[in-house]
Amino acid sequence: MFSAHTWHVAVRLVHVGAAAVVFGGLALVTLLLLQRRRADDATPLLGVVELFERVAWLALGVIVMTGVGNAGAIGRALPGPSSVWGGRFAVKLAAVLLLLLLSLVRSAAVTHAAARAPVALAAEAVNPLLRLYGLSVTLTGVILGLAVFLAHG
Amino acid sequence: MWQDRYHPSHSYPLLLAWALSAFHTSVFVAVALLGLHLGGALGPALAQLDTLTGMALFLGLWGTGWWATRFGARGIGAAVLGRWMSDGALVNRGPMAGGLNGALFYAWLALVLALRSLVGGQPEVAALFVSSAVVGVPFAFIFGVAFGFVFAVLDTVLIEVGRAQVIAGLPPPATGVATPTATADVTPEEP
Repeated sequence: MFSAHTWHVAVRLVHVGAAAVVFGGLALVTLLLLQRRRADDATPLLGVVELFERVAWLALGVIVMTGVGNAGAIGRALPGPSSVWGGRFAVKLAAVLLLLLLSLVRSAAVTHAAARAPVALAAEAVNPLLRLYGLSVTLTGVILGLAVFLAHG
Repeated sequence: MWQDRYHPSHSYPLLLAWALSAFHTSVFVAVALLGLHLGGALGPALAQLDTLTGMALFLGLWGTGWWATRFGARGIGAAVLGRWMSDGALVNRGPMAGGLNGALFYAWLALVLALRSLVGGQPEVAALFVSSAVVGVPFAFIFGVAFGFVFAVLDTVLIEVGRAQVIAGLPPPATGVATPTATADVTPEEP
């Protein structure tokens, strides 16, 4: 039906697209939290944050799934862990694992904030969430940098 | 209004169950990838896997994980409100949920590989995969129980870290949402 090359291009496209959703969404929520801290408005930020968490987990799952496909496209030619490329690949995988751990902490924090103040995001929760989102967006940026090295470096 | 549709007070148990199912599946696969890579076996292992089969296996694991996580996360409404560390809801239910997940996923794995063999014109190999489920499913259940326990402990620690980040200075849980005494067995709502 489709050639192997077409499949690999499609898988890579979805992988990059999902990564863009995570990075862009994290950056957007971080900016919204910064705005919320500066101006104490009643923007329904909690609903936005909670919706993003759902989308982010979908995208993270897709990233891991298509990441397997990307590595599978290289197959037996995949460099070992002792090579420069293989070492960077191992670091990237470890960073993705760290992002998954951090994301569960972040989702739990959002859930607790919603349980305690379900109508609007409490002012006391803004700074802790800002820290978690800031860490997440920074780590995602590092992973994207590693991905660029792996693809083009 | 989308604000009403996604109002956190109605859907936060579901968010955590959704997050946990994606977390379990992604961490399981990422750890396997990293282990195989560090052992130098990733390339040969992936060379045996075509794109469609790989996607079917991953989505199957995610699907069984979603069902098993919702099974294990019953009562999570009380859990997120602070009582779960003492009543150990996740740790109590996690191993059984993991066992069911393992058994279901092995059955799915055998089915997918059997179908692939049938399409490839190898009916005898397909029969082998199907018959392997008789022994494989109980073993997968046992492995799943072990993984379920490890994940339940990890979930518990990470959720507690998240709770500790935002809990200071916030008011007590809103009435009408859920309370530790009223939601001992809350089932997350349907999507």
